[in-house]
Amino acid sequence: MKIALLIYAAIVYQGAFEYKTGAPDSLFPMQIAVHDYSSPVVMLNPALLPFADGFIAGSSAGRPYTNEQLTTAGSAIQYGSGGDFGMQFSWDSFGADFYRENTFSLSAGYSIFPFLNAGVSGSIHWLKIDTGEINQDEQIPEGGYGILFAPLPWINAAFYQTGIAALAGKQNSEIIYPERSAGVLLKPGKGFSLAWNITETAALYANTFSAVINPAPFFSVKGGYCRENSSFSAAMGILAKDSMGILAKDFYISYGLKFHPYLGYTHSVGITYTPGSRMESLYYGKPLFGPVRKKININTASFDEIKLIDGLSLISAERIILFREKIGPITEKGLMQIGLTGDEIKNLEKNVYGLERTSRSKEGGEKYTSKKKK
Amino acid sequence: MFKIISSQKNTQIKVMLLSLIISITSPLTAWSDDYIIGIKTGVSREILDYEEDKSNLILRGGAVLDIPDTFSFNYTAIRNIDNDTFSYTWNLQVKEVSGFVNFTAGNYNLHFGSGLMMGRKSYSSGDPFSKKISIAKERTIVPSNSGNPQYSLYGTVFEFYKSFEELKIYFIPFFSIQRRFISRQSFESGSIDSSLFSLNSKIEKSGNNTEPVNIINYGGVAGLQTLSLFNFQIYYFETDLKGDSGKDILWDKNKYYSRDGADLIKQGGLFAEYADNNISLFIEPAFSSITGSEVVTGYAMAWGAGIQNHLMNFSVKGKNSGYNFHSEYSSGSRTPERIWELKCGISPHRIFKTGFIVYTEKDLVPGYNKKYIEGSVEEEIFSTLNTEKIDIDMNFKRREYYSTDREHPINQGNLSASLSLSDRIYLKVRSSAQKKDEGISGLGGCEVRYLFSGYMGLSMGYTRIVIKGENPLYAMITPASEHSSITRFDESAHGVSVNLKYKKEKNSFYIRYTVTQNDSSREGDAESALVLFF
Repeated sequence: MKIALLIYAAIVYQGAFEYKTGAPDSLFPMQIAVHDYSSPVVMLNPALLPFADGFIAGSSAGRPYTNEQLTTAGSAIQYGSGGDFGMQFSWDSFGADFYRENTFSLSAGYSIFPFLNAGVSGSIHWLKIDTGEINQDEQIPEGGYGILFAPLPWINAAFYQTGIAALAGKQNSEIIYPERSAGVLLKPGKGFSLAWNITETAALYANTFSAVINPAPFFSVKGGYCRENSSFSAAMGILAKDSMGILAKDFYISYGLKFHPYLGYTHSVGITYTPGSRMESLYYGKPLFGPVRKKININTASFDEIKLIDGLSLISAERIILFREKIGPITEKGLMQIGLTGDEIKNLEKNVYGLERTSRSKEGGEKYTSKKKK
Repeated sequence: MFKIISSQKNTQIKVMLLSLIISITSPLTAWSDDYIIGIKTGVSREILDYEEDKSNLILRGGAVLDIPDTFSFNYTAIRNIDNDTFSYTWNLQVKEVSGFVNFTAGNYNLHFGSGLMMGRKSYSSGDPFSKKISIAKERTIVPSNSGNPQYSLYGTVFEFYKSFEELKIYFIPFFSIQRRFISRQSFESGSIDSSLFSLNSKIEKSGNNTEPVNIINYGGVAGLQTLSLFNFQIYYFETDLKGDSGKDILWDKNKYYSRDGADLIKQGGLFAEYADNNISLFIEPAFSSITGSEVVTGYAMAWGAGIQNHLMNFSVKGKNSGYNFHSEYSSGSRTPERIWELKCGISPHRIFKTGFIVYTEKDLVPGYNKKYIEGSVEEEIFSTLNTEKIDIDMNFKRREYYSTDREHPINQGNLSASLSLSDRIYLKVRSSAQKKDEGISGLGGCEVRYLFSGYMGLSMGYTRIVIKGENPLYAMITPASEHSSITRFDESAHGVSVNLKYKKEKNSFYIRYTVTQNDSSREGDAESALVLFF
């Protein structure tokens, strides 16, 4: 009952439908104008829908603030042409047994020019409260619009306005707070993006920052921070591909964790069917998870192997071979003798093993480093 | 070495002679390239007690004997001139015995995993911007050569290891017994209010602290390392406090986890890490089980993930503790807390880098002598430009406290630039501005460095610090000291410093003289250090 009264007080004070989608990839429980769309996600701003590539259908569920009574759930179906237009139907639900907010939305976006997208959304907000003392069952129609400006491939700027009926002064303005958000998305490289949004909510102007990285074509990591309430969030998703075997292909599975310093943790999970979807991943210059740091034995490796060590000059590689041939197994002191600096030796030690210790000369036959005087 | 303190009404000149007696006896001439003998001596101003924000004048001397990969011995003694106390640390290492054993005796530090349960303490000043996440990797066994035994273990540690071509396995058991002193009253009652961390500073009989007790630690870590990519550790150790006769002494009386105090702490954890050139991941779950009048068990986890390529780097690290968690030997806080750190950097060009850091910490229990729970968030935006001739660092930081009992937000901006005017002359300028409430304090400084050769350099600098209102600034007089951390300035000051440094291979000499003047006094300080290897 206590939580019911608290929620009701919050509605009276600020309005309902404040807690936005609980999908794991949605890092903040509020509306934002622009976000990363390199992985299969529910688009929050309809102006982003033209970037959707193909068909996706997914569901998610979460437990806000580790509260046993509160739950979130949602589903979405989305189709986009990958550039020209896109549309999405979504359902989001938030609340407890005695209090439930349901939102059904239909959104569409169109690319008016190659650098300008626009989108609209229509929603039905269904509020149901049944605590015994308070009973309310209300359905409220609402709308929103969004604009996205993409002057260059690596930058998107967007604006999104929700609750336009409430904004126009209709009766539902006591329940629905018309939120607006503006933001910028930077994509400095493949599989990496940064976003900054400012959202006006009923309580405050919220600055949200997020970074999304796709380390591999099947793996996405997201991190977010909202400076007004010092909350952190993180999400990760795996796109099941044919080659992974253990999972059914074309499913994107995600998990999200949000941390609010006072309210605690929010856990959420999601699964999305995304036939033919691809994720653009980071560029490393060499294969990921390959033997990028596999060490080589400096005393048995060939010249061709040694010359490939990062940071080692060709001349140094030649001298190492010459040292081995003329003197014996290469030692740390030997590396100095052939002219390597301390930093070069440290770097070399990260990439090789088998460096003979100087003192071992006492055990090995050749006394090539032992100069102990009597 | 000398120190001058003067004020408007009273001028006191205190001169101390630093005697550097270097005795190189004839046997040393017998040592050759395979044996290294060194001596080190010097005087400096340092903070010894991490729970205080006060530096002391320290006279240090020591000797090193090193036979590479076979044996080393290190002895360091310090005299605290301000407090007239003496302490020393020593350690002896025997290496690669039979190809599978290393042995260390004396003063040493241990670092397990990321330092969540056992790690080397680092000093954190009162500077609001100095607090950072303590999670870091270090060598497992670190011999202590500081001369201050306060924060190091004392005893023996073995390392049994076996290396294969791409795999190394090891087991490190250790035993430590640190002798400290408590009052007779506490000894007879069988308990002390303070933590072991505080007890650690009672290394000598003084005042009421006359009864010897022993802080005992024993346990071990087993690990496996493959290809430098995967690293696993599992560790367990116990901490106890006893009198010489074996009498149990309880500590941490009336603390959050037990009213009667702790009799024994069992601590353990697992550490798993993957790290390559692009990706790093680690996780360290751990537990503490405190036996007092009842057994209280708490859990914690340190974790992190990072990724980088030529263009960007991104990492997130954290520490999450349960309410009953306690880690007496953590490299960070001993009490339960929640910490997140998020770092992101972009390097659109090889000479330019920019990014941001967000760090938040929230204690779960009130700190020592505090009635409220602390928490804060720090945000930082930084940019660096590094070219052949000029380096520029710029950052803006903001720290805000969750607790209303604490101060208002603090904003700080820093700019420093280093210019290479020629092969021998370098110029460095730096400035800071800090805003708290309505007061804006600031700092401006410049430093010129002249290199006589590849081994010797002379630096001279001037620093001006302006303090407005209740807005102290933590700063250093440039060129910075090699030992002491930054100083708190509560009032405006001028500072001049000269520094002469010689370093060739392992041999070095260093002398620095600083004069700081504020409205009420003028203080001169000199410090020097000499390290010679034969």
